[in-house]
Amino acid sequence: MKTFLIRLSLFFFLAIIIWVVGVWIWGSALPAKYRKNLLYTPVNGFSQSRLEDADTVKNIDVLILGSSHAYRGFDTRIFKQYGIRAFNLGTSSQTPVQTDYLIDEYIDKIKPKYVIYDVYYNMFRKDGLESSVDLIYCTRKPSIAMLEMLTKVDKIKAYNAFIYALLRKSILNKREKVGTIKTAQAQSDAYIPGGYVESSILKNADKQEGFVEANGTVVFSDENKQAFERTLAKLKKRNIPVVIMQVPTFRRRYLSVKNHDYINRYFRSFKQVPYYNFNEIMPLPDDDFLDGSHLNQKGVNAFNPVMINKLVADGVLPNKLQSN
Amino acid sequence: MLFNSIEFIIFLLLVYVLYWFVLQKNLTIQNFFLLIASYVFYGWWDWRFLLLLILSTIIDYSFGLLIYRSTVQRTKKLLLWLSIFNNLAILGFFKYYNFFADSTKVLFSQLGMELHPYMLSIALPVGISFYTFHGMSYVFDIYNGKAKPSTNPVNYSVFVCFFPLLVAGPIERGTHLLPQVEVKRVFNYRQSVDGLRLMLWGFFKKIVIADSLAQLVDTIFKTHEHSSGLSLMMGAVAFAIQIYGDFSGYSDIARGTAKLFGFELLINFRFPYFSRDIAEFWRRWHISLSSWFRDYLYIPLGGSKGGKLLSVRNTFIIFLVSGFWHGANWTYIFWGGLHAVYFLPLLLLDRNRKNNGPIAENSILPSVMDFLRMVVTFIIVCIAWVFFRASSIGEAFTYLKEIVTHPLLNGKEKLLFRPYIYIPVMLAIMLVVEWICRNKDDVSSFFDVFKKRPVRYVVYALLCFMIVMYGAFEETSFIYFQF
Repeated sequence: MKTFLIRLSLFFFLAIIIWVVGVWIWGSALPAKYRKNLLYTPVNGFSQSRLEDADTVKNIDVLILGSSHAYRGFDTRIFKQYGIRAFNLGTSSQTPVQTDYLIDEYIDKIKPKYVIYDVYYNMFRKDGLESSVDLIYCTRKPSIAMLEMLTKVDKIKAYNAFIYALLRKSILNKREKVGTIKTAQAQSDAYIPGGYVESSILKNADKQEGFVEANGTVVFSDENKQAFERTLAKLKKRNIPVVIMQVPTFRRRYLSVKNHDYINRYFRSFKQVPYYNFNEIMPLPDDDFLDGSHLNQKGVNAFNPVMINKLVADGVLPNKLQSN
Repeated sequence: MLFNSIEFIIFLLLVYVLYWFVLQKNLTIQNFFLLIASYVFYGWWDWRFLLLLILSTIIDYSFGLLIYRSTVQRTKKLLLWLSIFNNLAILGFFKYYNFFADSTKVLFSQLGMELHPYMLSIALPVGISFYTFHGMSYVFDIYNGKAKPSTNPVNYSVFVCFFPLLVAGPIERGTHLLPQVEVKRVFNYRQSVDGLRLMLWGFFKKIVIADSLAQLVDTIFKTHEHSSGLSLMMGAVAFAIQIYGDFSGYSDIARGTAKLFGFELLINFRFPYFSRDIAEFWRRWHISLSSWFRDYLYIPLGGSKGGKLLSVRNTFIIFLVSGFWHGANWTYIFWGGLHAVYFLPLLLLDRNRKNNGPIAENSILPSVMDFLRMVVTFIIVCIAWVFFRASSIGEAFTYLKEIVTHPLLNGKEKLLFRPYIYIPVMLAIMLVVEWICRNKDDVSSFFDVFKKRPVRYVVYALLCFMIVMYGAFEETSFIYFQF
């Protein structure tokens, strides 16, 4: 029995070495289509530029968190016109699990006075794999906090990407190239310092045509709800006021969801955390949308001033910010 | 709790440590612990069904004792029939009620009468067909004088509920497993190593082969109206491999896990796709079920002793019942019937025992004739699997018709098969390993090809790496859990 257990332990040790070495060989030598469970590609969304930016930002007024709805929905230049220094830390498909990780990594560096947390309902039912791989690819160095985040996502593809990134970035000190995405959408996007992404396309009619949710009944995952509540608790502990908000979503898509009551009830259930659903406060026409989901610049120009004025009027953001 | 889940790995480690290091000295406590662990394993799905499992266990245990103690043959027979009735009532209620109610409704509506039977809206208890058959074989063996009843209800319960086999077999016999439960188990290094090897191979077949192919099969069967002939052919072949990887993978993991605890379970698969005719296929596929039907249905019905006609009748009965055992759907019954039709020529020509010996015994490759026989057997098995997989018999016929009538290629194949580009390599690994072991009970001896221990360890680790790199990790359930 003793021999069996010792040999089993030795085997596990060897298996881990072969796993790590294998991931390295597979990642370096095989084209992406042959390495099924090793995803190592960024998603269109400039996460790398944004995270590099985040390393240099300090003591801002408003930190914005969330998915592509956040980085395409809150233009930090408009905030600036109101005298508000904002930084947009939204990343592609960011679920609350990744938001919680970003809070751990950045909140004490950035030290925001306020937080706006975009709560796009679809992110609360996603598994977080896409966003995790994006962050692993784009981060300067993988950290323990990132590994903790991955245990919550718990996908082999994310673990493999983490191992590969760890080898490349921490041991071989390599950096990934920015702007490796060649899609038409990516080519038309421009990163604006402060985290916002502006698209030169006003409307992609193909992507709006008949767009409805494939699954109209949204059910939030427990993992995402727990992460969301952990984030709120962390912000509360630091006395950082937080606003949760739904950015206007392409109308047909939004209306195809059958259970907005469930969604709104959940977000309203946090005492002392104001919740704004701008899909209901200011529904926007199709022309204000880039695709079947996100606002275009015209929509952002319409939405942001109304939103800022409303937050100030409601006392959620103080007036003095405007006078700064 | 699924074998392919983190929960199971943690559960297995905990149970293993307590079993061998804490409770080894006392057999009674060790068996009691195994029983509790098995209940936890089962209750992980839905604890309420535990009550049904316990009830079924108590009934069969009691009938076993009553039949054994009874001295009057008529009473014994009555008790046996009562036991059969109880088991079939439980199975019928939970598994077949809706099928019968729905079929009756359809029948009446065809006669012009409207019937609205009450339909059950309860989930099928996992593994009900398996543990019911465990219990029935125990009672049959006592009635036939092949076994004595267990005097210890805990030991009997472990025989029925032992967690590796509880939800999808192998379907054990009291004469085989119960004696192992009743004696003290001694740790055996070789047995444990073989157990881990089987588990590793089972995980490879389940996670890399079956679960990856599952996505392809689902896509093709869902969109068969728009698929090309080639895609449809590939869909049928892929399902044949998927169900083999899934079920034989499960059986390997179950047998491997049992070996870690010092138990030997019945062999369930002997590389069935190397069979040279359909009779051989059924001696190699789901062996514990086919031998169950042979021993407790085919032979009591007279087997092949009453002449050709009786033999044909009995063959049809066991194949149809076997199909029905799989589920309350006409597709399964048709699948069983089709296999009976395949079997018929062999039976009538007395050739059903022809391919009883080893495959390609003294050569690396099969002879041309054997190879052709294997291919033909595989093709007819694939055709039958289409009925097993389709949602209705009509859909299965349409699918088969479309293989011939649709254009062979429609330009969408590249898009369809591209995500599975690694599958041929994985299938080649499986094929080579299983071919090497074709005349053995399982693949555990394959690893002895590598004489040096470090080399063997590297081979195991590479297999683990293939699972990590190419497995589908969505914790999909095993196909046979639904049966």
